[in-house]
Amino acid sequence: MIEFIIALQYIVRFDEKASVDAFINDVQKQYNVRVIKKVRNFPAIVVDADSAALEKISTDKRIRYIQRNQIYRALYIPNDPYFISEQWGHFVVFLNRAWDITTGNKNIVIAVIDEGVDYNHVELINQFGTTKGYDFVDDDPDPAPDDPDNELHGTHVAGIIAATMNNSIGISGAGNFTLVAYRALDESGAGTSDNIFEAMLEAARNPDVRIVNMSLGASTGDSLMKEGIDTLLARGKVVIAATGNDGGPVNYPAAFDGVIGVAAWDTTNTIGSFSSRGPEVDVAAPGVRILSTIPGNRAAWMDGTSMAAPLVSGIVGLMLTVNPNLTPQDVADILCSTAIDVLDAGRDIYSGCGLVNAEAAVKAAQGR
Amino acid sequence: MRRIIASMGILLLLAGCVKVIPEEPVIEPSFENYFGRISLQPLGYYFAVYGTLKAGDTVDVGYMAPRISEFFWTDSTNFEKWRSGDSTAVVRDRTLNQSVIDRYIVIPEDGQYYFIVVNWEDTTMGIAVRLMRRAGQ
Repeated sequence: MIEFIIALQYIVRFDEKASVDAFINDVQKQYNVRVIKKVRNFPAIVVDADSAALEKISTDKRIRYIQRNQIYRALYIPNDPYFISEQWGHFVVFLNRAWDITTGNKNIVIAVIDEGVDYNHVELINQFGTTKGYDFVDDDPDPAPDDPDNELHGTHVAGIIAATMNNSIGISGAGNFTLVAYRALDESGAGTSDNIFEAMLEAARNPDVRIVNMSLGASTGDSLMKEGIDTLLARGKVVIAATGNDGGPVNYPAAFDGVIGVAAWDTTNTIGSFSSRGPEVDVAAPGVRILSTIPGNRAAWMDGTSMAAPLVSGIVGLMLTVNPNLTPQDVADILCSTAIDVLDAGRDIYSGCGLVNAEAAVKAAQGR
Repeated sequence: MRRIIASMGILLLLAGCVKVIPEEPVIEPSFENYFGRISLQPLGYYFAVYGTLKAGDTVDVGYMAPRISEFFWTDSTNFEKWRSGDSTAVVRDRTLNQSVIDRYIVIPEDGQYYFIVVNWEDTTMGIAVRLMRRAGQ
């Protein structure tokens, strides 16, 4: 349960033997207190009162007690068995509170440009439409991993975004979305500019895709990649990328303008020592000891900014669920303005604007 | 440390009616915010303490624990009482056997406050911890 206090609203519990109408009349006239409601079938009323009025009313012999009126809300905790024990990252970015507002929408399509994704995984099978995506490495319409024992990364990333929540199995994704997998990295985890560019163009052409997750990078950018990013942004897609794991400058495509670059937050209340740094870091998200899906109905822990970026993609999915009209720039602005300023005051090269805050971001998206 | 605790255990056993206090905390941070995962030793506890908090400040406290745990918060005087096994220690919002705690706590008066999670199990337990101070109006 989560609770907080409403200023000036109190519940006055009075004796059963007292006349309800007489009591209410006295409260309003004698003590000048506004009665908001009678509690149904119980000798209590809800009142609006300041401390002076409360002091006066509390002397009334008919009153048993006065208490502040609190709000209790259901705290959404999914029943996935590893959520509580392992998914620390979802918890510390307030995803459970964001889920009180929305758990996502299947109309939000998130493209994963990565290795292949095991779309038949029990946690992912319901998160894909009829079109699973495309394999740009092998040039065929099946984006499944070629080598399910070693090609784990894409399935792990997909699970962080949208592993089925509340199914009593395994883990929970950041929300309930539709995924489309574009395999542009091979079983060794490497991919070429042309394959990645083709995947980006496909995501740009797909009118349903709202978010593109790119948990990949290189120390230098190239013109084709830049053109791909610009095309995605021009089509209104939110592009989220991992900043890199070498502790050096931010990798590309995260370093390109308009891309939301995500650094990795450690379990130890600081930025991951490996997380790349620079002015292009926009926000940080948990990226150490992250449990997610891998091919063959299995799960495994992985570390890296690759794990941080999809958590932000999922949060953006929640933001777009409550406000589908947000532009990529709106999304970037909200993520930054609502992030928790965890390191040096203001923006810094390690965490950017700070640790992403799912609850605040979704609320801000609602209010925009 | 383990030797000291063992001696304390004998002492407590002899005293008979004194509340058993778990082992020393794994960490003793003093900070503004904490977002991470900590490992709670068997019969260990974790506490967070801020510098002076002001009346009206809010502390956003949350944790997820996979097994039996206890949460409460208290001021510095009562924290020391609790730590020394004094059964008159006054603690607030004491919650037992809850795997998820998610609270906004409004600080009633200026002072130093402690936010405590106790692992009452005999195995180590990893918990996700989230703590954030918000200054009052």
